[in-house]
Amino acid sequence: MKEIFVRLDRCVGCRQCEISCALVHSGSRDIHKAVWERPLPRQRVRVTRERGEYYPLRCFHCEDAPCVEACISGAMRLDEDVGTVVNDHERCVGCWMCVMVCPYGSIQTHEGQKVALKCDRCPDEEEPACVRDCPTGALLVKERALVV
Amino acid sequence: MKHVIIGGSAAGTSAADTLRRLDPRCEITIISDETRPFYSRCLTSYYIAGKIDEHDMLLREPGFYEAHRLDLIMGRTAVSVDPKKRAVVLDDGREIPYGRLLLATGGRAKVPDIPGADRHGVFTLRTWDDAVAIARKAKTARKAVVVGGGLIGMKAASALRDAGLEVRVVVASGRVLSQMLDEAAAAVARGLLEAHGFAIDTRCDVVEVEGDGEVRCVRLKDGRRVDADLVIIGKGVDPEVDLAKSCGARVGRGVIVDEHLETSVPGVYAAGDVAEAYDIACGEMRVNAMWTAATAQGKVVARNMAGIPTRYPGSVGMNSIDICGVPFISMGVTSPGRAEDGNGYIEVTRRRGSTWYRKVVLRDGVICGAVFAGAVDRAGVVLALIRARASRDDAPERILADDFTYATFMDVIDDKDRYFQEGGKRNVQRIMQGGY
Repeated sequence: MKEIFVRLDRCVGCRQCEISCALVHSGSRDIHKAVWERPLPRQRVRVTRERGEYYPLRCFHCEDAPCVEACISGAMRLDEDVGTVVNDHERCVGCWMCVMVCPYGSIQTHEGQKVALKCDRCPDEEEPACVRDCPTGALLVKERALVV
Repeated sequence: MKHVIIGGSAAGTSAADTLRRLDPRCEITIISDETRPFYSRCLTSYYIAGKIDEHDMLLREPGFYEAHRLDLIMGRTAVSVDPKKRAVVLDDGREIPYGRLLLATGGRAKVPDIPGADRHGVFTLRTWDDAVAIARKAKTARKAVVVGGGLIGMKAASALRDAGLEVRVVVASGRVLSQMLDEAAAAVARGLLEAHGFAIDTRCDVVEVEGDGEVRCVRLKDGRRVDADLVIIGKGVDPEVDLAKSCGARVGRGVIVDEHLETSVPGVYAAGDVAEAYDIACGEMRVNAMWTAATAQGKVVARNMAGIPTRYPGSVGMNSIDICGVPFISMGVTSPGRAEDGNGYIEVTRRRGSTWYRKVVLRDGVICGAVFAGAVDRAGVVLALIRARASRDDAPERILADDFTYATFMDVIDDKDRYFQEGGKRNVQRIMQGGY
């Protein structure tokens, strides 16, 4: 099972992952067109600076996820085969219970669409967009078993 | 081992799910007094509002019970429990023996003693059947009165407004959502509701429901008569404790459970809206009737029933509601009273514009509650601080400035409380260690 890992010492806070994430989740997937989409495509990874260090924060896809526990609509589910927690936008009613319980603050409200936004680890891509485009190698995908 | 679960909603189903994962061979029987398999009570108002279809309330695929070999008995009420014989008696006389028993009986909508409350067109909102009946009535009704300004009352009121009715909310206390929100946030909510055409009467009550067979109007405490052809009573929920009493379990407001969610009767457990368990924010036993607590307790209780001792860390009372498109979240202690009353609480608040409001409550420097209105992103980080009983001098300031992330507080957010979670904890180490 694959997971995204972060090498904090390599993150320089360039925010390329944010742009790539928003773009891959846009309608057109073309940066020149995506900027005109409304609502604006939103990134699900956020780079934040704390104590002089950069942290690219995103969903950790917890095995025992509080957001799945809290979900009242059955939208938030753990896909056990892939090891991801994904939100089904068709079922999501925008109650924000998941936002209320995620200890990592990794789920965002999307007021315009009334759905909760989070990392889906780019199921249709060969590699998650944030990892693919990270210029310093701070984000990388590895087999889970190799790291524990 | 034969496990019997009374109640097929969030706590019961989550327990059954977990039991099956832990032990592929055990026998699991679920007894439900409803006639539908596991569905979401929390979605009933969305259905009434017309935002989802009836079948969208179902939370499991057809075939779920067969696939997991869960023996589901629907439409039957358990009338008593004999802990000596270790058997549950059903209303059709059947006796179901158990090795371990879970009481996940939930709650029952309170119906105050109002003359005329039995007329057609007066409803409570808890079950699927309630929702279907209300939705049907709402098709022809024009004016609704909602009695009670709590979470259920407000969700029902919003749903009926969305369904096109005129809605009046009659609230006994001085503000809407008085259990969930503090005064300032409740004022924001009220302002929004009134701007969107809701009529709200606080410090008021319905004293009589008038009409012939059907409801025609309600009489209020101040003497006014208000036309209504649909009345919803949202005066709260009582834990369904009768069965627990019948087997001699200790009962307070709910069924009192220890840190393994076992009742005072060995082999009998309780979880969900019926259970009175430890509340981390107040530091006392409380019934926290919430979906998320029910699911979490279901998982923990299943482990204990399967013979894997697992401590339940406790819940934090919390909720999330949308009022006219503005999100509200509250958690823990939200209205502790003034610090000069000597109760050790400090409240810090910030207001930004007409619908943005935030509050953090501290007790002896430890964060024990928060209210968010207008912007709720990353509220879960604050919940994690409450659960960790965290204390950091800059925390209130950072939270109010909306200038915080998980990274801000990761030194004080401790995941050890996430009982059997492995993913989260490992991830924390991973992000902190960096390279490998």
